[in-house]
Amino acid sequence: MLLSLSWKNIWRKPSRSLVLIAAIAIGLAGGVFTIALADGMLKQRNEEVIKQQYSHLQLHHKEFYDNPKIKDSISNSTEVISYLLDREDIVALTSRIKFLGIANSSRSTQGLMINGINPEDEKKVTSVYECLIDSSSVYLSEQSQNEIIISTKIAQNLMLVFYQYNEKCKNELIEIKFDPAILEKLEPIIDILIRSKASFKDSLRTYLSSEEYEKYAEIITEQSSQYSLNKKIIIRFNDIDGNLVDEAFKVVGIYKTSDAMFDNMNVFVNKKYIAGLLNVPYNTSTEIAVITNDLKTAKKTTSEVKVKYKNLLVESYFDLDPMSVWQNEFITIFYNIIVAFILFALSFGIINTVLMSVMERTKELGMVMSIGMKKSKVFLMIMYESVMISLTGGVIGMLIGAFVSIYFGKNGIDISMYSDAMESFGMDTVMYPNLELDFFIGITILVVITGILSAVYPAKRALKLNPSEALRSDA
Amino acid sequence: MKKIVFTLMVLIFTSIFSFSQNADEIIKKAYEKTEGNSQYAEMTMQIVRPRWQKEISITFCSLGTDYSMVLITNPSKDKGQTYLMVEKEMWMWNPTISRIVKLGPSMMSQGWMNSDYSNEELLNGGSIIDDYDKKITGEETVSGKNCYVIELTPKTGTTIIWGKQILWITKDSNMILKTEYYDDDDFLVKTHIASDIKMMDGREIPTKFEIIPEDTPNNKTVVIMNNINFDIKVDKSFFNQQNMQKGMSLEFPK
Repeated sequence: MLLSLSWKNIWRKPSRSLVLIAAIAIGLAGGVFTIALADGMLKQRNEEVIKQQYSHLQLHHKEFYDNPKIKDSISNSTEVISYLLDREDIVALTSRIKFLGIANSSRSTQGLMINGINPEDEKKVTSVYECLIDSSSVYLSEQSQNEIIISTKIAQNLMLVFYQYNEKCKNELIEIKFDPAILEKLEPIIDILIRSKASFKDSLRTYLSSEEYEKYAEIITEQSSQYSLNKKIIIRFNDIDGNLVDEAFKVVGIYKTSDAMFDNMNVFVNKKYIAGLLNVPYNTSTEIAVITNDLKTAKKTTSEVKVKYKNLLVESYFDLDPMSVWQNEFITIFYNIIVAFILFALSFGIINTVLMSVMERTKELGMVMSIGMKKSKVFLMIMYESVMISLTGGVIGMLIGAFVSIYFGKNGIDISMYSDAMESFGMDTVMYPNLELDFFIGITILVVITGILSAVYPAKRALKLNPSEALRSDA
Repeated sequence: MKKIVFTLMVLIFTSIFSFSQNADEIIKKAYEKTEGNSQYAEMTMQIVRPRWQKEISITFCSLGTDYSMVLITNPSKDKGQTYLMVEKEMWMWNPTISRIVKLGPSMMSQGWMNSDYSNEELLNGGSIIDDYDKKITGEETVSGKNCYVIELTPKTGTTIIWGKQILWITKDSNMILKTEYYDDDDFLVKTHIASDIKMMDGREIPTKFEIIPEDTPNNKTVVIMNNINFDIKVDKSFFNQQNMQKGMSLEFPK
């Protein structure tokens, strides 16, 4: 009875209530979408770093992180691998030899983390083979000898990049609606190969005015850069006995992951081949990476493996990437703060509207009180009104927010305009919002609480009314 | 008829063969000429950068290609620093910290004393003969001397970072006057120029060496040979770490 009375009260002035409901709906829809975006980004990053580098579970020698040496390999790796493969909760695994080395090209030098991988097993665990960027890049094969895959970043450091403004680059610029007048000006440098970035920019400077240069040089340079594949680099490292080994490798592939830090160091070679150079048996491993059924079960699996192999360092993704744990905790606090702020602002609107409707109904309230309606029921009625307004707005808002999030969750939001900064934090340039169900429950509770709190002041005003005086008032 | 063709073929092939043999010989002789069995030298190295310039005086002693000792005698900041190179390893002794530091693999490709010469180059100057295929590609005149132009391409499986090298070697006296280093894409990376040919200890050799990197304009390193003695009396035992630590008081065999 009281509920339907309150509901009808809300619609006495439909436009006023609708405006408030709309305000709440928009506010919450925005909140839901923002949070879905943040959550989606985080989830995406987690998935990506798992796929690109961490896997769900990794095993190392206890002293691996202090100093990744070949001597500190996993001594019983064959046994460990067969034990892991027998476990039901493990989907795939691969073993690697990881060690430090130095790369030399004819122009530059760089320190590297060399990953000796089993090319086929690696495919099941990480996605490096999907990250090859140049169309002529090739992934390693089981028979690969001195072939190496390096990142775009390392290629730049070793100066295996050259710059050439050619037809292909021109067409790409036309495609992104580049000013044709500028392209006209670049005509003299077409097809000229330039080795260094600085001199390519110098040649741009001679043909463009300084304003044009400021504005377009970066993008033209980026479009014109090409990677030299099949070029030789010399890798230097110590074998198991500490002897210095120099070996020439041919760059067969160039990869790029979304984590710039990872790209800065890591190169991939065939494990069988590199084991020979290191003078160790081909089944030596310094790292075993595992994919479990589900990220959620990774923790449990980790602790079980840990018990079985006490001599090894067994880490789940959450240990390997402590940032992710911190981020997940932070984002939960972040959700609640955002929603609380939105609702706090909206609560003033609710107070105002409910208060207005109470003031308008002074005479009516006086009457119901004088015919014997209990004060607690009056209080409850006003509270129901407030809660129903906020809940209606809240539900509509959540629906809109969810709808928008799901839509973009499927189609993605391209933010490649700002991609450089995002990428260096290990994020993809297309964002997919993500929503968790339990988060709606949290919002609903917050909305109800807001409704209740907002009703307190207007309801108190209503209770203060003297029935006889209220009856005589004009409103 | 067949016989004639055959003999012609043989003639052609043998002439090509002897031509390439020739390139080997020329380079071998050129290296013998500068390296000798053992040597003592006093040199000045100028490092030229766009914003500054530095001059270093060096005393140097070597035995074969595997042993050498370097002492820096000027400027006062670097005075007394010694470098010891034995086979594939290199150590540095610094008097201000009184400590011997072994130069790790990561430091090998860095410039020696910030010059355009890398530690690596100082260490393995001699590997050139075996690791390259050599070919005479023509004849040119460099600073008034008739030279063979010889192209060196690294053999497959060697660990040479260059795509190719082009050497200009004088016809009459087997001196390398100019070397160009190219990368895998045939871009010039740096140029070595030798000039100021003088008689030194009974041999006619260039005494001024310049290295000009291509990527960094206005950078170069010049080495001027002030004095050189060939075939000095020196023993392997001279090249040890005790001698390194003598610093300025180290007496070189001349």
